[in-house]
Amino acid sequence: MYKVEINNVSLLFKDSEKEFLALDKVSLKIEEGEFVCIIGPSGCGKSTLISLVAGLNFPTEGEIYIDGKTVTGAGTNRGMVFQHYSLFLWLTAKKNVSFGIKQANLFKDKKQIDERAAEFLEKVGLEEYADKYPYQLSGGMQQRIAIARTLAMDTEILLMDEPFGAVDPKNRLALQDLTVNLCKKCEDRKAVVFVTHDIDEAIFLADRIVFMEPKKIKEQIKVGFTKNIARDQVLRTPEYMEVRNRLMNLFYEDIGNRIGGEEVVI
Amino acid sequence: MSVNRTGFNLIKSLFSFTTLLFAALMVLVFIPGKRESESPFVFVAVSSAIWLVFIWLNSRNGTRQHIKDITYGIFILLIIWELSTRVLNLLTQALFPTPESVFQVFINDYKLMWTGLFSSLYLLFVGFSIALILGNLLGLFVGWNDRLRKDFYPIAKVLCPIPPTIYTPYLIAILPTFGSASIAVVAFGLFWPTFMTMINLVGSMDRRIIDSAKAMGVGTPAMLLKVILPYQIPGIISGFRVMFSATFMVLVMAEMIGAQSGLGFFIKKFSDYADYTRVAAGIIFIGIVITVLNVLITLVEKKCVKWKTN
Ligand SMILES: Nc1ncnc2c1ncn2[C@@H]1O[C@H](COP(=O)(O)OP(=O)(O)OP(=O)(O)O)[C@@H](O)[C@H]1O
Ligand SMILES: [Mg+2]
Repeated sequence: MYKVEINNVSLLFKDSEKEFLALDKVSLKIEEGEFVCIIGPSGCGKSTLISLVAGLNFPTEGEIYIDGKTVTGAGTNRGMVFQHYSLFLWLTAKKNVSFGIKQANLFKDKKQIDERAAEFLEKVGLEEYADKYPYQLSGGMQQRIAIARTLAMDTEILLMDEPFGAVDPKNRLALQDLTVNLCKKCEDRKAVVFVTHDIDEAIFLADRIVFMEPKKIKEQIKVGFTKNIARDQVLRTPEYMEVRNRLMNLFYEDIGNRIGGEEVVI
Repeated sequence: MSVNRTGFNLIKSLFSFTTLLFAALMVLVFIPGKRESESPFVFVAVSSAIWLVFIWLNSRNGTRQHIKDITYGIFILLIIWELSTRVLNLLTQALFPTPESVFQVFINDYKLMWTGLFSSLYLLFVGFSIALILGNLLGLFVGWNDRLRKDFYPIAKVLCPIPPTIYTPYLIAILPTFGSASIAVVAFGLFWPTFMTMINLVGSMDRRIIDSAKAMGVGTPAMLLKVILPYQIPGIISGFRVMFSATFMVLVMAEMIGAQSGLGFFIKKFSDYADYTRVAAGIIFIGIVITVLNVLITLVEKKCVKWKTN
């Protein structure tokens, strides 16, 4: 049984007059403990697909199963980091993180909740900002708090939609390491769906990279170094170059096709 | 440094145009005029209090233009009043009482005024609590549920703009006591706008906040009370502020129609006897009460909306 199974899923957005097919018969299977990165041009439906898995929206056709059961809504077995910062503005950084921990029902005791919140704020390097409100934090800081909130929930499945997009390069590397530690290096590995625009990030993190073209999955590439090698070693392997070239080609093919066709989005 | 600064501000506001106006008023009060009047004691005390508050505000926060302007306005008005009534007796005595006698009412009739105030505030408080609690909670619930919203929103839209003054006489007639009637007027008049505002606020809620709460597995009750409600608190308070003045007006009106106590009753009773000294005092008293209540609302707002950028 797969942890997450997306089976022939289509999604049609219907406004009052217009219809827009955002996903067209997409299938994807994710195993227990597998780290899947989704990469692809802007507007191809990555966020749409991930929000279906989260249970925030429902496919107009096809089914999504988690542990073999059809998804009927959001649940605490999944945690999600959104592309946009989505903190609760009326709570301090720390209270935002605690909110997630309480939702996940990890602890009953207030002190334990507090300690875990502090621990995860420290993990994303923002322990000094615990008592600040979101409006007092920069975009990248807010995003790191949102990441801390989701990671602290310790869910079986993690859905991350361009989580490090607003974060500076140094913190980005630190957060990648943190994600690897929490999702891949520990005993019960999590199933992760991770959307990114950064090819290197995808290669470094993923067990499998899924390349999407508008509405569809175009190609899937198995990777999987990270078992025990360091980042700079990964960069020197021939396999890295091969995967990277393959992805670059996919991007350019896609843009080439579109220049040949009617619309161009770069 | 800050002590220095306060001292500097203090001296600056002591030697200001406001002080000049205050001094002029004090001189006027003590020159003999064409009209006999009550002792000026209370009037002088109130004027001095205004002046002292001005000095205090200025030395604390530095000079703020609108505070200056408002105090100018108050003192100029008081000077004109004093001149045209007591000193020069330009206006009809029966219709335009002197400030000395008006302010004296605050001492002579203090019992009647304070019981009136408390009876008004009690009705206001009970009516407000009912309307705010029911309006916001039901608004949350109805706004969240698609079907209920489509059922109730049109109803609220019809009932909301009907001014409570229209059904005030009717409610006073059908309800057994005046107290219950004015509570009903306040509650009913305030409920519909509160209810409707809340439905709108829920509808215009940031989808992303809702989605991120849903993704954390937040259920409906927690969604309403722990996510949507706190998010909307600023909107609720600013709506409350607008409705507050209107409701106060309605209550005073209701009291003029059927009450045996209250601020509206006070004014109505004495204007029936053509006692305009007391009427003027009542109006000033209501003005002060509204100002104090507004300041309280601002304080509550500041406390509740710490998380918002100003
Ligand atoms: N609520 C909606 N109603 C109608 N169309 C929508 C809606 N949400 C998204 N779309 C459309 O669906 C397509 C896919 O959007 P989606 O947000 O999934 O893209 P994405 O792959 O995440 O892009 P990006 O990398 O820029 O985040 C877009 O063309 C968008 O216009
Ligand atoms: Mg997206």
